[in-house]
Amino acid sequence: MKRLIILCMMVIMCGCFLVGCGGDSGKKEVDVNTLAEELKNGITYDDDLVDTTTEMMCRMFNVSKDYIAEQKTYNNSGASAELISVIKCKSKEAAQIVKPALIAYAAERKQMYASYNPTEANKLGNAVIEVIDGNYVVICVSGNAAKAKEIISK
Amino acid sequence: MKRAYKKRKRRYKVNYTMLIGLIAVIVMAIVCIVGLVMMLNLGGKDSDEESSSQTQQQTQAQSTEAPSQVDIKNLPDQPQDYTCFNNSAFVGDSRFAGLLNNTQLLEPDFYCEVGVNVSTICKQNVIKLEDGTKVNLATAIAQGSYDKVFIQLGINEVGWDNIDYFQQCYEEIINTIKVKQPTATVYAISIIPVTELKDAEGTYVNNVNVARFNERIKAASDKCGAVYLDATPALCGDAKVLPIGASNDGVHLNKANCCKLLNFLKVSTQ
Repeated sequence: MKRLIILCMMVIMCGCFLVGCGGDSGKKEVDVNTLAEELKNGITYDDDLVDTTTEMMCRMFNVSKDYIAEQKTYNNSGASAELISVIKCKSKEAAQIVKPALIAYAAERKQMYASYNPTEANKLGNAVIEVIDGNYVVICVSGNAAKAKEIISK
Repeated sequence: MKRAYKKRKRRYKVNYTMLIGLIAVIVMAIVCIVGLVMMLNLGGKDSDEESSSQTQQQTQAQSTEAPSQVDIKNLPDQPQDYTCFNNSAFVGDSRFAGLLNNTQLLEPDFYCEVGVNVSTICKQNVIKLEDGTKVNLATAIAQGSYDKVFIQLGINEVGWDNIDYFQQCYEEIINTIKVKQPTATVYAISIIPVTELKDAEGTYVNNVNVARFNERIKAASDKCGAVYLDATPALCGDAKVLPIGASNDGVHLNKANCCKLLNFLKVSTQ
């Protein structure tokens, strides 16, 4: 009888552990570095994209560092408008501030490139800018917006 | 006898269960300790690598800081100590914008924009300040107080028919900077040549035009009291052509050559 009780308790504990470790709570955990790498390697770019610091990224997008928890950005060398940035914001509210800043960035750059380089202006016009899981904001400026969307949606 | 045997048997079974539980706890404890040790080791390695790379950079910085012995044609293409530019301004087109993207110098001020030329930079609000507003050169260069101002312009203009107008605009740029920054030394950097492949495309962006317009930049510098810096030997060696591996599109420098350009500016302005 005692053995049976102990066995049942062990089975219940194992079940509890499995439920705790596994299962989808509905929240998607995004690794900014992994997603940025997937965007970098999954699409062919015309430019050599350069790893960019948080300070530089904030300056580019004109956003405060206070909103940023973590980020991975690959910026162009000046030869193109291509860009990848995956930003984990500190909150959903911060993401709602960062996203418009990225949209404004793409629009402003598109205007700059309009007469100078229409190909790059086109890439900016097709920039993929999305919010994932509430507090992750992603921008990808490339020659293959469809592929970028596919990678981000995974 | 039977009772004693049953008692011993029961005691044996209870000990077996406890043994399994004990082994499980020990295994978990070992896994936790190993994981902790690995994390500590990784943290130690990162700080070691960081300090050794800093030492390496300092050593490299020291090795290039001998102005009289510097070979301009064999400058390093790795990042150096660039604190000498902390009080500088960089005025230019997409080549300087690329320099900022590649080297990420945050202390100097960069007044650069893709597609600007010697005319638009003065006459139009094309330079974006940190607060997002767009201004012309006169307003931009008045934002700070600089001891050095570097100009890199011309590649977008090498197809212009009116080269006199180009020189006139360049002189206006130098004079504007000198008025707003009377104590700064103004350095006019030559237009960097393009690669052979780019040159062979047959467009106006070719090295014959680059050389022609560089003569006018030098003339404007001499007339207006700026220092003309010829970056061609530093980036191209004895050839007057940008090496193929120095640029992805034949025009804009990659990271290594952006560092080389900065290293050239550093040794040339000490």
